[in-house]
Amino acid sequence: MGKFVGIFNQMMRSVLQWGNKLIGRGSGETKAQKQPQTKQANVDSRGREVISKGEDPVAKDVQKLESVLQEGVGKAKENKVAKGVVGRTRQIILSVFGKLKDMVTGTSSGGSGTLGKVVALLIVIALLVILVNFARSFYGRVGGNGEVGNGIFSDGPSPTPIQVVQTREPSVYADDEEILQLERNIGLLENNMNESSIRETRLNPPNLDFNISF
Amino acid sequence: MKILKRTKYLFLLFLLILSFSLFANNARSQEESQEENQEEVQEEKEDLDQTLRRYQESYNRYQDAHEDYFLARSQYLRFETLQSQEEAREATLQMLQRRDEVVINYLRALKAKLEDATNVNEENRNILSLRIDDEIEWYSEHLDRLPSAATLEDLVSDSNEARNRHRNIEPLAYEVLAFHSVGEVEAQHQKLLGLFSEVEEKLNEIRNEDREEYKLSEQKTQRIDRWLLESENRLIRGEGKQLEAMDMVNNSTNLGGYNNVVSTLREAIQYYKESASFLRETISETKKRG
Repeated sequence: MGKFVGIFNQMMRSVLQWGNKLIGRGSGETKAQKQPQTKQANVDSRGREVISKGEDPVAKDVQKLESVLQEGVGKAKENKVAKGVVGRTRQIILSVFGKLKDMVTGTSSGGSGTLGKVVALLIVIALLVILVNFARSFYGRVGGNGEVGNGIFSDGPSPTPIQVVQTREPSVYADDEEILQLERNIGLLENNMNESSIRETRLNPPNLDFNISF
Repeated sequence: MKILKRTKYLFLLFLLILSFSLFANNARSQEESQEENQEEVQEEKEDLDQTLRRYQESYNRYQDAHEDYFLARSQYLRFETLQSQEEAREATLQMLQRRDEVVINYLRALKAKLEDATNVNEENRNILSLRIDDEIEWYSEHLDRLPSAATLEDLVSDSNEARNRHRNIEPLAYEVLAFHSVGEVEAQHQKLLGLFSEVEEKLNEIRNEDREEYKLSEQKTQRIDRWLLESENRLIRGEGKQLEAMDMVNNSTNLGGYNNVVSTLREAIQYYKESASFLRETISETKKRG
């Protein structure tokens, strides 16, 4: 379990680093330390920048991912089902990353480099949002004691607190006529106070026109 | 002998009929006086309702007359002919008469309301009543004088006279309404005070009870005393608010002042309601065992 968590963390770190590089953030470099580029970038026939394989961070990340996936495949070799699932997942991820790489470097026929970067960034953000939601719902399911609960957003009705009325036995005065009469009178007074209106609304001074002029 | 017996029986019968008729007369006269009382109360209520109705009807007539006056005035100011002037004079006269009637009927309704109010100091009631009568008299005389105005200028002058006099109406009206509101709250206060005393008396009777099965435990007695104390505290607070409102009545010469009186009285009523609910808890506690 620990190893899988480690692998997952490594994957996340790689994705984040790659995302930072896509949007032009360096890995720990300060502005002062940034040197102006003296080397001239390679340009293809259409005038687009071509990055050599050795410098390409995306390709490096893809290689790293391949090694991680191979490790996973190796672990799942004993289990045919797991092997099939992991293999298929590997293919899907590699193809997605390959397409992203093409979009960023502009080697695909359709897109420009800048548009590709923007689209790639959006895809990365979408993936992050999905992962965060997944993690939230996963941790929400596991309670403080490690018990599986219903998650933060639980379906189904929540229990309504029912007031338990504690009934006490009546005393000897429960049937006392004077007590009952007092109770009735108090009830009448309360009703009277609730219903009576202090404010008289029908006798406000009338609105009359006293400004007569010709 | 037979004749004597017969006479005796006749005499007894006569006595029975006489006593029966006397008894019936007594009962009838009691019923009649009760009916008279009820009729009086009904009459008073009808008087108030009647005066309110009359006031409302006169206000509706005034509004119609005012519309006619406005139209006639606009036509006169536009055309300035003799005919339009005469029509304007008639419409203005009509409107001024209706206006005075509204004020008179309003004052009568106010007086009926004052007479209907309970728990109002008699001295205050009399003073206010006299002031209302004074205003009614003035407006009645003014109403009688209006037809003698020959020109529009005379009518304008008469109207201005009424306008100046009207400055007395608003303070008087709000003072009457404020006294009426204070009276309403005082009525509730008196009832609550009466009930509180009765409950206290009953609880003292229970505390002094000698019979074992009718005695209350100390714990229960403490609970009841606590509720009673809460009730008394609320009652005292309500009385404080009520006194505060009564002090404001003399300054309630406009709508703002009247609103202040009403809001303070509402706070007093709220305290009285809470006091009554604590009294109810006291009774409820007494009715339960343990």
